[in-house]
Amino acid sequence: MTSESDCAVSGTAPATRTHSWRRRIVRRGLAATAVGLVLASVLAACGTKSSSSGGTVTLHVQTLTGPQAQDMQVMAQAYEASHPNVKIQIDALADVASKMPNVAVLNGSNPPDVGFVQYDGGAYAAELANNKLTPLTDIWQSNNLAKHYGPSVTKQYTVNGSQYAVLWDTVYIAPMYYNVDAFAKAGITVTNHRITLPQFYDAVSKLKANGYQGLGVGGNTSYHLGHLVDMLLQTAATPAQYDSLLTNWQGSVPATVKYTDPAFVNTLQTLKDFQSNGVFQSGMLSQDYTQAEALFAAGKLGMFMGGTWTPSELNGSLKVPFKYDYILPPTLNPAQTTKFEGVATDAFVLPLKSKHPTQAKDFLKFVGSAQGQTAVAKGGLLPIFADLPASDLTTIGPVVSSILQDVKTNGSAGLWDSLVPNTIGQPFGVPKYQALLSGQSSVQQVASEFQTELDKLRAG
Amino acid sequence: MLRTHLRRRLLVIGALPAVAGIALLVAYPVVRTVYLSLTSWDGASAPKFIGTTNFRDITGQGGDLWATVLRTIRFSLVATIGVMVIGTLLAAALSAGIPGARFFRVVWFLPMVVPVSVSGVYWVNAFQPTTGLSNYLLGKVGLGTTHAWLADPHAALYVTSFVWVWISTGFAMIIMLGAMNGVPVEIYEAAEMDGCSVLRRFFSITLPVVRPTLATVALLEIIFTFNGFTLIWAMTQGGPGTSTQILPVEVYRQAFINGNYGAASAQAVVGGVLLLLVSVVMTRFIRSSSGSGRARAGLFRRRANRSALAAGQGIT
Amino acid sequence: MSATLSTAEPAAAAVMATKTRPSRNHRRSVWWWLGFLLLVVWTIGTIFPVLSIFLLSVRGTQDVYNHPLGFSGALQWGNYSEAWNGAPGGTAFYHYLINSVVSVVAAMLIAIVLGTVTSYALVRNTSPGKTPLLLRVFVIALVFPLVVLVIPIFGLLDQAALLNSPAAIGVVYGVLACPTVVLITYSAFLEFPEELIDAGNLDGLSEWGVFLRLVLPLNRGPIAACLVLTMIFVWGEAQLGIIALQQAQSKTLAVGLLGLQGQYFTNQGVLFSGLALATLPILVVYLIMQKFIVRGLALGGALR
Repeated sequence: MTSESDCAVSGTAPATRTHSWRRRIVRRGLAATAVGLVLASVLAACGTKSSSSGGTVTLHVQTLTGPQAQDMQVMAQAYEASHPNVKIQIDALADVASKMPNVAVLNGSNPPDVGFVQYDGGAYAAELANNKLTPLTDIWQSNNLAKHYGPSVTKQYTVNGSQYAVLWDTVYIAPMYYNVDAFAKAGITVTNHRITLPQFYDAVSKLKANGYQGLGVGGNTSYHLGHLVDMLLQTAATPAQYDSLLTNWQGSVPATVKYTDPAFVNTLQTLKDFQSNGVFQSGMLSQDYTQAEALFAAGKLGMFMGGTWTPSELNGSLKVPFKYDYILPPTLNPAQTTKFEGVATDAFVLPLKSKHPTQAKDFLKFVGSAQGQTAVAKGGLLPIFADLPASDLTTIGPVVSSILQDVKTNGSAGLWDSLVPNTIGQPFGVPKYQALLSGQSSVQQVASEFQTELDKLRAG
Repeated sequence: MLRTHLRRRLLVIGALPAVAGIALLVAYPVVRTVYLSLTSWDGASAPKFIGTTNFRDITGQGGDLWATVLRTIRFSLVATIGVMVIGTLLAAALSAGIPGARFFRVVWFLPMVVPVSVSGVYWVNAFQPTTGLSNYLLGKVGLGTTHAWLADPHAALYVTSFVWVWISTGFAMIIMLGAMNGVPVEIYEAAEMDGCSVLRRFFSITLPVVRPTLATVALLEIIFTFNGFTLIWAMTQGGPGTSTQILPVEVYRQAFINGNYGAASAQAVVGGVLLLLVSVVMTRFIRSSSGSGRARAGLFRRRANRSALAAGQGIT
Repeated sequence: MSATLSTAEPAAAAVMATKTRPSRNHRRSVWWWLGFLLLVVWTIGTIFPVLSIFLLSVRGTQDVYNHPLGFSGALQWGNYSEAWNGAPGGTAFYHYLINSVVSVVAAMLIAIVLGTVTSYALVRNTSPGKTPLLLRVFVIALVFPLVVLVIPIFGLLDQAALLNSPAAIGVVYGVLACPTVVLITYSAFLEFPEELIDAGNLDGLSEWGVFLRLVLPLNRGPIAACLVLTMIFVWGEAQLGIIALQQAQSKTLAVGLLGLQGQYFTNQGVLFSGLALATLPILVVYLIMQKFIVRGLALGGALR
């Protein structure tokens, strides 16, 4: 290179040679630029290459990372076995990504074939408001989903007489899993999986005396503190008050309960007391669900609050070396019994711009069938079908089985922060609880902020 | 000759592709953001023009724009001052020819190379109570192991600023070093013969000469911190509460998590205007001080500060 | 290479030179040693976290929690294969790696081609007033924080059906890195001896012939600096990526790592293996190319 350019500069090269040489360079330069551009566009094309080749169709199906994704693998294998010309490509989303950020993806020009939305994240409502989903009413009818799902879930997902989602699993929140060895060592006994507030504080101090931290919660996770508030609210309020809070955001429902009433204020105060009494693991506000869970699995915490999906993590990738069982968060009114709160929040939808709507619909039909639901159980999660034979549920493990039994005996409640609209539900609430616990806000302040939003909603 | 002249005039066409790129990916987005700030938009339907409502909402009661802006400025100032002070001292040390300078230079730039999300995740773990490095070390010297740095709303912003300083100091150091090495050795020799101490030489020769560069680097750091999304998101996602919610994090939250693109754009516009103002003021300062520096020391050499100024020139 | 240096920016060359400062020959005081000690402390502070990522990457959870320095505990090389294959139900790491490489290559191509052509045009053109004007455009482009740009860029990518495309993100980063490349190479090209260009012209080379034949090869140093700086910037950037790369298999390392805490790894060591895998490639490139970075930054480089 250098010698050639020296040669050019010195001007000794014959004119003709220089001429062709110059052309060669220009050509080479052009070629290099062209190659560059082609390369860049090929690379760009790679990212968006068509998903069908030959006779096989690749369906892009969204799901959550973690146990849901594992579960989906089982489901996909079951489906592919009977549909050899379809390949399921799982797009696993983190929790936050599956909520509002996913609205942009589902509405975008290149959405997945089957989308995943969490009802309590607000994405379902946002999608519907913009008419971006294909109605799945025909699947509901052919598979008789209304019967399998039950009336409350059916009501939740029916908009103007149509349904736009096929559900997957049921989630019960929020058992506090405890380290059986730690409880034994600290001399804590639990009856009937329930605990009162004084007993709870006592248990925490005993755990601490024995070298364990108290309750693990992912303070930095978008839903976790919300689940705790929900469970406390359930017995801070009377059942009638709790039910009223689920519906009174509608202007037509009489506003008998306010967020500035003792029920909600006491709930917030209890949350605050947990913090000041050192109930949580230290650094709770800066840790997410998985960090807290990893601490529990490593034997540092006495308790960890989770859901029915948690055991498949604990037994699965975390491989906890100790026995664990569950209690429900403390009951604030001893006259009441704390119940599990059930949500059918994990929903599959069919974006309008799905590239393979027919195949996607067929897959969703499978998800909403007894066969698909058995696959859900096989993957370790709780199927949404309440009427599967017990023989199909052997895979869910002893702890989740006893939770199911608990729900059968004591019934379940609705999840308040997932059933009220977004502007007052989980996405609104959790940052408020974080502000409360980090000292940036007070109990009264948070309560009145909730009430302000409620008034806005009621006014329409 | 005339043809050559014309040809060279036409050369400016070569700048067109880049200018087109900038127009598409900088100019258009800026205009579009300003437009979106005047609309209500959920990211799905068509934006609805609503005038200045967004601005009234974010500045009014319940809107936390000013808190966010103040927080961003605090983060930016703490980080920038840390970076500038340490970066300048390190550059001075290298420029003074300490033993092992080459090695030090390579190592001190290292944190800048590590991907920001890696640094963020590493330091989050290092600052965890009981299991993290910081408390482990504090425990070793008897200061307790339970400090929950990142869960403490008063400490979290400073912890993230500290990590920023850790990351970005190497960058400031390298540029300052370039400016310092541009100062002719003879000046120092003369000063030393006059009996000036090291400190005296640093304050009365080095600093005045590199002042324009110093201001330029400070400006760049301020711009960088306004882009500090990745670090904050990796470390705290704005928490606990809102205590580390700087402007880009708030915009991301508003837009992509809450689906409130109009309000998010309004916040972005405020941030952009703020940064533009800071840039204009600091550029004025850079220009005037490079002028006075030349007059005062009488040793301004074209190349001494030109390089760093290249980044600052023309912002008016 | 040394020839390149002399034609480039002398201030940059000065950075590289080991200058003999007068103070060096003096007897070292207590203060000198104290200052030096502080520098050593800072050095440990910068090098240790990087080292510790690698040490912790081969430990189990208990060891990570109990010995956060990373020096004690059993070796678990399996962490790497677990990180490489991804958490169960998560994304395999090699997806991230490939995507990062794709976006970095696209960004470097765009930034260098557009940037150098522009600088050369700015240096050589004789259109009155155009160069200062255009330079100003590039400097102003540098001032707008990404936060002002992300929402519309997201929209543009969506309209072009380029969401979830690491290459497209790379192209965007390339254009955004362009002003920096222009500022660096403009300084360098300005120093390029005009006689050399004239000689090339006399020899029958066109302006662009001179550019390709003389200016580019003789400015390898600053160009390498631009390439490495672009690489560092794109390798670590996530603000745009987190928005535009939503599909798990389309994420780059920087974006994927932000979600790493949220994945379900058997042990904490795997998390650090992930960090180590993300750091290693860029670290190697830096150690090989570090002198170009120093030179490039001294030329006035600054990336978003």
